[in-house]
Amino acid sequence: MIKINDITKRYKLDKDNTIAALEGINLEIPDGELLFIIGKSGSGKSTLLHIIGGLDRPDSGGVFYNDINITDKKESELSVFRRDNIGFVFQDYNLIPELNAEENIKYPVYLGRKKIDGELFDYLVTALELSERLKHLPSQLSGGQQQRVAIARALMTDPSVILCDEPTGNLDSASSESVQRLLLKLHKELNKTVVIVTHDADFSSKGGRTVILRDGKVVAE
Amino acid sequence: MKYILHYVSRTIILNRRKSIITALFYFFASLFFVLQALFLFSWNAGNEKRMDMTYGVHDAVFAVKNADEFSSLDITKRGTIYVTGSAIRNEDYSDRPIVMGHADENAIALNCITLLEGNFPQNSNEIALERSFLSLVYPRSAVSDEITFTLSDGEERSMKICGVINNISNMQWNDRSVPMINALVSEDFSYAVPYSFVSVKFTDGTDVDTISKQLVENGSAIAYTPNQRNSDIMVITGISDSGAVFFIILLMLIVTALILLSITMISSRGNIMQAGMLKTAGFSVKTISLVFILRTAMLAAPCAILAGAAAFVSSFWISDIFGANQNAAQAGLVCILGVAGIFLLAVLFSYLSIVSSVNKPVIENLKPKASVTESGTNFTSQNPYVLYAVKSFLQNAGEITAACITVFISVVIMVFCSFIGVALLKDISSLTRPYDFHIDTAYTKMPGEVSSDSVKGITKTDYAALYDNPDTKQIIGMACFEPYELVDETIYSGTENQDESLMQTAKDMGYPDGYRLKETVISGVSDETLETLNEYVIKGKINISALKDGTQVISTDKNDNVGDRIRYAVLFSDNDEEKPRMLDFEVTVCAVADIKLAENASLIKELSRGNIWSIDAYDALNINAGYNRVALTVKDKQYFAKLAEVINDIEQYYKSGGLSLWVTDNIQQSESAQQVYNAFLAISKTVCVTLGVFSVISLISSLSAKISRRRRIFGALRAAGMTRAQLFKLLLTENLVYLAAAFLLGLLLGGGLCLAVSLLSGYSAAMFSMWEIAVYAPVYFALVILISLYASFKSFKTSVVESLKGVE
Repeated sequence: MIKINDITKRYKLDKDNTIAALEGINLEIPDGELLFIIGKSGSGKSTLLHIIGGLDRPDSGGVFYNDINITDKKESELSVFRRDNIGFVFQDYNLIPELNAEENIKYPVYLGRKKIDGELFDYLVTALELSERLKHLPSQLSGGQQQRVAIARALMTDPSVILCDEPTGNLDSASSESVQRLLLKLHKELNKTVVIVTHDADFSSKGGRTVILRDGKVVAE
Repeated sequence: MKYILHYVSRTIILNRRKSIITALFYFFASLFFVLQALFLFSWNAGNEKRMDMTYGVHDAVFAVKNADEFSSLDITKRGTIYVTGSAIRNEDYSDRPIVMGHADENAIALNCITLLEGNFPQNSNEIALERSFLSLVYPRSAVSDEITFTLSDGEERSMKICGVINNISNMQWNDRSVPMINALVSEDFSYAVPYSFVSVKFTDGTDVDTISKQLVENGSAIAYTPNQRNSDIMVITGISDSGAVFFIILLMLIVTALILLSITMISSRGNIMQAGMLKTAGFSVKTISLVFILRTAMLAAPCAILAGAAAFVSSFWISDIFGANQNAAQAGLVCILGVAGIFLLAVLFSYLSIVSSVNKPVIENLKPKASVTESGTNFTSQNPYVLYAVKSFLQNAGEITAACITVFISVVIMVFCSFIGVALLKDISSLTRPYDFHIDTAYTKMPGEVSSDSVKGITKTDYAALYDNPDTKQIIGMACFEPYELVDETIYSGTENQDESLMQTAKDMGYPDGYRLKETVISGVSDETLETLNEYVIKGKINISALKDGTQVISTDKNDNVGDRIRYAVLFSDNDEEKPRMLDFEVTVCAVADIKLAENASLIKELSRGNIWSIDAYDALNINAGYNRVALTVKDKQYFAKLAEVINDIEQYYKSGGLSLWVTDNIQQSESAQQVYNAFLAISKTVCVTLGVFSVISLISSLSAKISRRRRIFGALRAAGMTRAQLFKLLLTENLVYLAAAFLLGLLLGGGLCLAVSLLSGYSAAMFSMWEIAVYAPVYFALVILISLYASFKSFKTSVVESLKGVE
């Protein structure tokens, strides 16, 4: 269970003025839930996702993972926490260009000095339809394939939570459709908590709970 | 144009750090190149000056018995006369003789002698000293002070320093150096020892050779050497030196161009994106090109000017090092041309880099294609740092080149300088070991200075005093005697370079036509030296008894074989007027020694001019040869003083007869060689340090650029749980792989270069110093650690979110 308690985040515009990115956000995300956060550009949805993932810190409030408040953790502790518990998928994929698809997928496991779970790897590669592209470099893959590699990378450490920031934002409709389908399938089969930030209303209508943000506030659930 | 200038200025100011690094690059590139050019030009100018001082001013040098009589001749009155006197020793600096002379007004007008301070001598009590001589021998004295010295006849004399003159190079007598004056006196100065050399400048149009011959024939001069002949030889050398200078400058230009290219490559990716943004803002292709060229020009121009100014200021010091006259106009021209060249290269590279970027479709500018498009390797590892570092290394050839090119060049140059240093050190050690004393009588054959007896070198009697003297024989260890005028004559088909008189004599003795003289000697060495030589025999075997009776010889020509017969014609001349007499004998080659190896092993430098046998062979064949070079080692150092005493007696005997005999010990030998070595060290260290600074800036710049460009990827890895320590390890491993590759390639090419030079020059035993590399390498490795540490700390100062957005 992820519990978000009265989160506020403000950004400085200049010396005297600030702007509220998030104001008094309260949310509860049960284990295994699929949650969509939608809203217009600048509504604060990515900021909220970053705070949930421990990538950014709120000005006030807390993010609790089963009663552990990650906002109190030091940066080094947060790194380890993220490595063990959270997988990220970004709009820009952010794959390492020098490593092939297989190495990109396994890289977080190498960093964690853990053994590769061969079964999980095979499952992900098959589920994400990457078997034929494992030895390809990111530059040799299409956008949709790169994003599927990024999803596999996020899941390879077997985290309990997957946070996706506009995962289909850079994709054409066919690739977007495919990535959406696979994300929903993986959520269903792996029973992970999946939080997806998107501005695509069609995507959010395909299942799970939806939270709508406007001007840093939850306006609808 | 105004807006373009405004935009370019803004980009330079807003990207301060990048601009500063680029500017530093341009500054050091310009400085590096111009300094090298100045070094080379000054070196050449110094050589030319020495040549001019020796040959350029006068037409001929005469050896005379009576300088007054000579100078009063009508023929010499038409020109300028320059007179040197004999050496006068100062008590405290017995090895630095005062060589006096006077110059007439014409000589001074010809700029043979330049007054640096004070006045020229006006009366017999005044003396003007050469600047370096004054600072060395009378360091506490200045103009108006009085100096005291002892004349060779024992008289002590005091004179007032009236002025300081420029340093004057020695004259040449054929291929030998005649000491030129270091103290200028007036014509009124009187001294028992007469002037012996007169350097003459005739009026233009004079037939120097005809008049000089007449002067010798009518007895006004004993002999002469025309400067034109020597000058011709030197001019050829001078031209080849100039060619070498330009060749080295061209090499340096290529090195500098490579360095400039590296910085262009570093910034090329950023340029592609910037070009795309400018295109979307409506800039035309032409304007975008102008923007980039202007940016380069605005950064490079002030740096080049500053570097040129710094180099110009240094040119005074550089001229001094090489003994060249400071020629401000020439130095200024070199600086201007040098910095202009570098500036144009920078602009050209900038233009070439942007031409390819600016013609791409806008979308390719805004989203440049990944630099890595092919896997190219099957390497894999579960170690995340090694995996990333090796893959990154194998797949980023362009970036590696940009990052490491200066390190690579720097290492190559360092290795090569180190090699030359080692070779020079070997030269020094071969000069100073294993002999304790070097006695050289080459200078004794100076017609006019003394009687013709001087041509004999160290006479048989004196040789006996050294080697057959029961007091000294037992204390001499290794010895080497190179006889004077002992010439071997082997059969060759060519006829060039033949000495006419010797060939005529050979013909008279029954040799057929077509022999070529090989001007080598047989050196006689002690038994101990022969035993040492055993190690360097490559063919045959040393037979000491046959070497002692003069029937066999050790050849130092690798083409000779055991059993070959060599016929020697020994030329003797008791005085200059007599026709040389010949001694004809034949010897068999018993062994062939690799003399180069022996030399490189610091053993018998003195033997390199010819074949070798035992000292006793001269006696056995009754060859009454003098020795112009003798090198001796004391067996037991406790007898060093005793041998020194005997040598000193011989020296005094020669001196009292007015002969010149030069004795140098190890310290003097090494001091003089050390001077050459120190000059080389100064130059090579300047080059290495300049290149080192260069490569450090380059390394910081390129690695920082590479790290900065991957901010998003590092952000994603941080999001996935990468700690700061892990990022540090990742960057360190990657940078170490880059550096190691550049270093190893540098060592490889540098080593190859050394090997090539070794093979060409014969310095087969010389290699570069591993010690210097052991000092050099850690500096770079420490730097790489610092860069990695700094980058990882800096990366973690930025939040993950900002990193993911690519915010700096």
